[in-house]
Amino acid sequence: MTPDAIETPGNVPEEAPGGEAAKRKTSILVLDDEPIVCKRLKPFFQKAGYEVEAFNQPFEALARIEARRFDVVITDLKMEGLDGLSFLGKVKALHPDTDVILITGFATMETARQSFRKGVFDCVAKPFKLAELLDGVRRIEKERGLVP
Amino acid sequence: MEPGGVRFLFRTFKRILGLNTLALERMAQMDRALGGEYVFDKSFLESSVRDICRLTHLVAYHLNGMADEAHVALYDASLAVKDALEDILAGGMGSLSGRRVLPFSEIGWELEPLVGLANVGLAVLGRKMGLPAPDGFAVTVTGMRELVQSQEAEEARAEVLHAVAELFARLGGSRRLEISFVSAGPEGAGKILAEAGAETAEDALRAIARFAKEHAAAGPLAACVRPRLTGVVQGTLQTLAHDPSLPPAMLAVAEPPGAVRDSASAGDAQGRDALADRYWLSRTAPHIPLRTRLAEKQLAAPLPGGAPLDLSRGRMLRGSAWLLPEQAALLARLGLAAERALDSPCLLSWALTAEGDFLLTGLEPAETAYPDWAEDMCDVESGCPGEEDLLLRGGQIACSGVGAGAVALLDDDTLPDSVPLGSVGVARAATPALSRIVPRLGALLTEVGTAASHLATVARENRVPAVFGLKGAVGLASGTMVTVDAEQAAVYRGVAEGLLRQAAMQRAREGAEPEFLVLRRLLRHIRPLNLVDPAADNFHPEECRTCHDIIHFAHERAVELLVSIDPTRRGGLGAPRRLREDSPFELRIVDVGGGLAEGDDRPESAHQAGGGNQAGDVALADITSLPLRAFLEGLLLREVRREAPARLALGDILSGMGRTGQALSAPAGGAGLNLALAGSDYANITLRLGYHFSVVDAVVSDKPEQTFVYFRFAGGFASDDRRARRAGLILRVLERLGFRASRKGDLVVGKRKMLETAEALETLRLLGALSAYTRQLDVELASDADVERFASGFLEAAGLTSLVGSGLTGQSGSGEEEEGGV
Repeated sequence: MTPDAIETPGNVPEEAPGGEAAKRKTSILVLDDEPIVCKRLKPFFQKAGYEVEAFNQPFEALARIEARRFDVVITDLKMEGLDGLSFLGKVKALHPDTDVILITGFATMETARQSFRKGVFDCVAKPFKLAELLDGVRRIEKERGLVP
Repeated sequence: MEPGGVRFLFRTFKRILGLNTLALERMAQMDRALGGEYVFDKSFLESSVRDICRLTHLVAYHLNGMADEAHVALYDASLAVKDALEDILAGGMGSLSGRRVLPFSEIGWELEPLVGLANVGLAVLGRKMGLPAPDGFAVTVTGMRELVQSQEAEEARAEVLHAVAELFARLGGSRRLEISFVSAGPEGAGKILAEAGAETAEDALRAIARFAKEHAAAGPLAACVRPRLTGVVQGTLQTLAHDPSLPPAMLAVAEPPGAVRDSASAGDAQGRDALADRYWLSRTAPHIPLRTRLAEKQLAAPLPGGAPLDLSRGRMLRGSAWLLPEQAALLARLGLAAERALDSPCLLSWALTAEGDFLLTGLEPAETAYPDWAEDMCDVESGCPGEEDLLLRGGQIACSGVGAGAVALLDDDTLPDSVPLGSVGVARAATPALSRIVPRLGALLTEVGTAASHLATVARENRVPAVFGLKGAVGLASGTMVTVDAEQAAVYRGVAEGLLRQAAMQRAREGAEPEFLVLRRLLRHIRPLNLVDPAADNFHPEECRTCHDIIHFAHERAVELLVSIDPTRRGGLGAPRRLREDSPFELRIVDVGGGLAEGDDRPESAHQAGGGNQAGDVALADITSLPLRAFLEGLLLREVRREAPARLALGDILSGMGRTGQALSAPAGGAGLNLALAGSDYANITLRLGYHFSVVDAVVSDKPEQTFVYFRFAGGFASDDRRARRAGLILRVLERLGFRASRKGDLVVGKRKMLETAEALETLRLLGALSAYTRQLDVELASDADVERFASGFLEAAGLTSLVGSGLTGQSGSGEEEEGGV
């Protein structure tokens, strides 16, 4: 899937000159091999004022992660080719300060514990409400000082 | 535990209630996912179907356990639904996938992949919903494929010719045929790809076979064959047409017969035929035209429903539109009914007859370009309400969405036809009896009820925005225009066009995704409630078509079984315990689970007070059964007890002697025994004191839809007219307490359902007080004036004086002399 979001320069600085962090949109990468999830999340977060890129293929998302940093990554846990935990590991290795929210249809305590050890910010079980995910992203923004 | 014993029945009943709740909650989650509330994927669909099938089967199993396997056909119904659901998940074409042609009479929603939307839409709208759609038949995906395969082609061709001959026979002769070729298959959107006409069966076969051959590689196709219907005006109706400058609208295009059809797209000026009128109609009843664009016409042009445009005919002219405003409104109502049935906006083709009747001639999904999310702004300027317009907020979202209309107050006796289309229905409780009215509503509010109730499922099935458990709803004045925002559980003053527009756009945009299509198809086998009335002829397991039918059937039958419990079949329950209080009745109590405090749980006062009493006696303080305790609190009220002995006339004694056997026709061993079965949230209280017989059966749950109070009263000692007066008095009091009550002779039956806990307990207290008060009252009811006096006396003693004088003493009423039965 080719992202049709507005392209932004790679490795956006944490804070723009002059301390105007609030003027920069928080960037989100969404990865889920179920197209409907990307179709729902992308317009929702765009409407809420975020910069969003969405991918159905893990290797495409991985290539994008290698090219630039995102503030937030939202990824499915179970996918063909590369599972969410491996993707989480690669994101954290490249960008330790990127926060990751895991979405999964097979949420169990064990996978949740495992993912928290790997530094996941939050887990959300499918089916979920868009507002739940938005809450998670807003908490990340608050903790990271991305919003005033 | 003995099957058929009271404890077994009670526990099984509770299992059914629990399973019903789980099934309804799962259905609600699927419904809400379809409404866009959840993000879901295929595994959600699979797990939902798995869960609902399991729960439905268990409900059937437990009901048969209670009913001694009297409803085994429920298993077949459950399996049939399961097969249909699994076929949809597997991307199958359904059980009739081998058929090449199918008459409309055999087509239901489950066959949509096999026959395409045009066929299934016309078949279902016409046959099941009674809309004016034609008879016809489908050449299925299988038929279209085999028409171009050498081995089966001959047989397929013969079947098509035979189907045309049969259609002509049903129509009473040959007709010119209209054929639509439609995209089908599990992921077919139902778009009409081409249309053709045919005069004979051979013509029709040639056209179908040619199209099948030329488009063999274009994916699954089907053909919709029906008689060509013509009228004095024809056209299309797009049920959702976006125009940023208008509230949510429908677009009707009308033209004379023979005019060239155009694309019917909103704002498409290029392809417009010179004779076509356009009407943008409000989606909210009464569907007034929001904008019209009328074609120029000849002065002498014949117009339906009025005189030609001849100025010499007088000052009052019909106007030059092809459709009169009332015809346009009727067309809008047909369009909304079709949209609800399809669960998505659609494009209808129609013809208007010289008699003023509309005929549906075709159907396909609507195609509209929608603006991006960013344009979906909702503020005061764009027609969204502000806080100053807020009338009510709260309750549970039973069906998301936004609806507007005039408030119509409803109760279980409201006739559907008396409710104006598009009204915002407001009722005290979300009872299943309102199901028939739901399709007519623009929105629905109730003060009692939850999102897991049967009525909530019906609201979602009909896409009627609904908020249940909204305090203050019945205080809305009838006729007031309001907007219900079920997304936010809020009610606003007036029609909030911005909210309506935003909700309509969002729904149309999301509904076309493949997962939504599958979910919609699944829900057609899950949520429709066809069996509404337990007293109706079709209330049988064989008639259950959906999961909802099955669990509702089981619920109703389980309640009936519980209410008809024979307390003497209490094998294994242990000895009854005597109530040690100053009761007007000697009462014994059997604990069926959590009804009595045991051992260390017994209050200290009971231990002490019990010292000098019979072993096993219980005091009021020992009773932990919520409904029994409330009933006894009323029964033991000294204020309502009449201590004076009844004055018996000789005639009363003589007539009472003749009825002794009837009044005491209790099962062996039960005569004269006042017995209560007590569970923590359940009570069945049978009183046989003297010559009357009354039963109270109640479940008091924190879920209003599971709470009910039933009351039956019969018998007495006095003459027929005096017993009838007492029955009449009880009937009136029950009605004033909010019961649906009926009387036949001296048998009074009252039911209350859908109650909050506090309300149910208060009702039981009053029933207890009524039972004490009316003891032997019949012999004192010498005249109708006595009825008034005693009714007033009871209501005053019970603190219900405001109800006195509101028709309590009349002997005629809606419930009088109706068939009783619980």
